[in-house]
Amino acid sequence: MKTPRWLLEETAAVSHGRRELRKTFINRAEKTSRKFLSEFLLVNKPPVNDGLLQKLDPRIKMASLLFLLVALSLSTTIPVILGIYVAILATSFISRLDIGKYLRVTLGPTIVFSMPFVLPMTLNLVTPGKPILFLVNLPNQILWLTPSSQLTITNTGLVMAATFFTRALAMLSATQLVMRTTPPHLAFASLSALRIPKLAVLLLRMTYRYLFILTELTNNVFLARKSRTIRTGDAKSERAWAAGRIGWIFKRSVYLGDQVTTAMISRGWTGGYNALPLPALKRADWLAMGCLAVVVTASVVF
Amino acid sequence: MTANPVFHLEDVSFNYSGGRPALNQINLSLARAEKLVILGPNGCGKSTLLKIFDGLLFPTSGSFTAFGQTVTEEVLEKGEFAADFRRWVAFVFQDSDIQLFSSTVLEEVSFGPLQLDIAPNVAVARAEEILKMLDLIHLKDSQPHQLSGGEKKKVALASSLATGPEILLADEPTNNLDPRSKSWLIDLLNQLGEAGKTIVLATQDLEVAAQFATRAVILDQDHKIVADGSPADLLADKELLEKVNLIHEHWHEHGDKSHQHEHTHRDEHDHDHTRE
Repeated sequence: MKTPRWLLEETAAVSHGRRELRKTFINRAEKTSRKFLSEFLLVNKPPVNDGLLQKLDPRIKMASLLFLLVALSLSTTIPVILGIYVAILATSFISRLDIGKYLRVTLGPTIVFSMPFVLPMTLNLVTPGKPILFLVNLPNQILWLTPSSQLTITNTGLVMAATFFTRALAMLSATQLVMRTTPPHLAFASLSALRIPKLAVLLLRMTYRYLFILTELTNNVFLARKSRTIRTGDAKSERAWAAGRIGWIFKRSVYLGDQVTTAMISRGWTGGYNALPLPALKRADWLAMGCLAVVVTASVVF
Repeated sequence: MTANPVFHLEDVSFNYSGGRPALNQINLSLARAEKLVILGPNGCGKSTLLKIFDGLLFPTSGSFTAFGQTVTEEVLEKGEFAADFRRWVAFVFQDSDIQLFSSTVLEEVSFGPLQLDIAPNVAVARAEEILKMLDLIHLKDSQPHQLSGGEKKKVALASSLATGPEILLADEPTNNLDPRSKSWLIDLLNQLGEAGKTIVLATQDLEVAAQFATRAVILDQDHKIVADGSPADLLADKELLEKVNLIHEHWHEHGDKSHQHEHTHRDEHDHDHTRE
């Protein structure tokens, strides 16, 4: 083996002028994947065990969540939806969740994702009704398209938007509450108990497991590139690189899937799936289910 | 040929798609309670051979017999032999992340017994016993991504042992293990061997071969068996080991001393410096 001479010589500093690492979408993607990994590990930390919901059987929590989501989608009264939301907040407090973080992960996404629907909903062009706030006169050229010459916020629109927003907030809060008080393996086991096909649950479990591995792999690819990058390329070459890596990670995930299947076959898997059973329900679980049934019925009736 | 072999390969060749050869005319018999180590350089076909032993790949030509039954894809897809075969033969994969696909350690270790229709309470009891034996019980509710490399390897081993196999196959089991864990693993394998289990390891780690195996076979880069015998005899044959690229010889210096001797490709400079 002959080592090239330049490899054995000392590498001197060479001035390349000003080379700046611009913030490109690749840098942002690397930061996002790193953040996802740290969040993922945080969410997967064993939740405190002495909170209210942590003591309940996961089946009860999953069934309750399902019923609550149905009730919230059927309820059209803002005070009832707000009442449920307050109850969810109170439960998260009793379950000893970090309330600040909990509010951030529920309020933030609800605002971001509901605004594109909520804002147009308030306008008279989308929801006719009694105007409560004048915004602007519409140009003559488009009047033939609109029922009114003015753009206003309507009473009905505002109520509909508020209903939509509070409903989305309550739904996300309920889901986060259950997720943050139930270890993932118990959440998956309870899905089987709710008669969701075992194979579908197995796929969910494995998706969850390997999502982490592939994100870690993606993050390492970004870091390997970063360690050898002294200046940012143009947008075209950045896009080409990213597309190439996406293809590589896809191929890698196909290979991983294939290998995992052989590992499962090796241990007796034949296409069905026998999972560990959950323990029997306790009296407290039934009591919680009863309380929730009352809340759900009341929210639908009122 | 070994009398009443548990495994018997006759003229087995295997090509991957595209015709890339992995095994070439392999003839090999394995007796019950034998401790076999398969040695060879990268890409010689060690892992492929283990996958054929585990009924995960099937010979392109030749035949593989296990427990007196010819093993084909059809035989392992149908019939009672398949369940027995999976119960009797266990495989520890080289990459533990492939093997650890369940949500928690306990689920992982009980996966095999549950799929083989062992009652859930028995499967859990068995899994917990294995975890205690391997000093992993405190990790039973942990998720695989929370484990270190050594812990993952141990859990992978636990999940393979949970079905109570007669034959344990392990692909590079000492990879990523620190010296203490490696020594612990060799002790465990020896203990299983003394209990009458048949164990087959594929490795490049000559130290494992020396400390564990009662028999060694060497595959070369042409994917053929070039030697089959006692580990002591084969490991003493430096010429053979150099030829198959398991060791190499070079000069190097330590302070004012320079000397020449063979190195394995692992632990390259971990040797006794009194030699000159």
